[in-house]
Amino acid sequence: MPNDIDDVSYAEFTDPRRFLLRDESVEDYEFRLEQLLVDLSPANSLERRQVELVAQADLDIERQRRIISVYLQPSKAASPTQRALSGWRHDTIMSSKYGDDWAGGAGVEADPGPVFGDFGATRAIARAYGANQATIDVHYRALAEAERRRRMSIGLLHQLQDRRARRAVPDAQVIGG
Amino acid sequence: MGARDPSRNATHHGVLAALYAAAVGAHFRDLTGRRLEEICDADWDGSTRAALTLATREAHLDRAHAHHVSCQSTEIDPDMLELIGHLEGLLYFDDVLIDTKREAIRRMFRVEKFDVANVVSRKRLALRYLAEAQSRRDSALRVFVALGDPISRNGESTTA
Repeated sequence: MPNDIDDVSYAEFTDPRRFLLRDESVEDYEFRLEQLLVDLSPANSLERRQVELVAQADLDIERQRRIISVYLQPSKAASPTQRALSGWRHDTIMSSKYGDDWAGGAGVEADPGPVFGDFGATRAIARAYGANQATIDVHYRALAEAERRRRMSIGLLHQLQDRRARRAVPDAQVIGG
Repeated sequence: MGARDPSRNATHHGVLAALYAAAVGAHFRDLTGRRLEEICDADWDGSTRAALTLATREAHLDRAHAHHVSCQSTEIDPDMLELIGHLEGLLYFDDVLIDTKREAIRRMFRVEKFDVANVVSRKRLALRYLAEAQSRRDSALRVFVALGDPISRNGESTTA
């Protein structure tokens, strides 16, 4: 019977290298999975798979938040073309003092790198949001979807565990008439 | 032979392509404790078929998830950057007509816009494939549990 598999020794997890990015580590993922296995106490291969899906969704939630923060960096406010044009204009103005058609542009702004607590960066972040809105919106959708997957996986796991607990309860017997 | 319909490319090469038997077999073994090759014709009852369906959808889910992750890069396509670099080079030539430079700038923006649209489209499509794969897998799981794990209600089986 499919759900009588309580020996999980042969149940293998999906190779995490299939769904990890370069900035994610197998060790971190496995540690997270171990913690979830302890917390959620799966008892068979179906439940273990649910825990694995919860771990994957967890990872995806963090990933999407990280990606959104990358797109909101002030350095992302200008696209490659805009940066190239700024550089060209700056170069033209500074080297030959020629090219009035393109005069008035600012030079290339250096990437300030990650700075935290800089309240003056709000404007640049808003510009970065405007410049990358389409991409950021997709990642917000992916974030919402990952959170939904996590909720669904935990819900299904609880259903499976509830079902397993009820299976252990013997049927009621009608006594008397 | 006629030309292949390009709209069906995903079913031939991409995330919707036929699955590897080994991937399905591994999930099937996790679910049933038996190898797919060991199942003979007489064994194909409702719960075994449900297990195979679930194993197939688990393998699809793994693939859709891997595809979704592979589409998450925040880096700009190097080919696109190279193309913009070539067009940018035109701006620095003094003997290039100003109209040509304008055209180069216009094309740089067009290339970039095309690339952004392409990236967004790929990410959105990967997300849709993942959501569909998850939904199908969850449905198959419910069927599998209902067929393979009946809870008696005083003689009434859930495996109707």
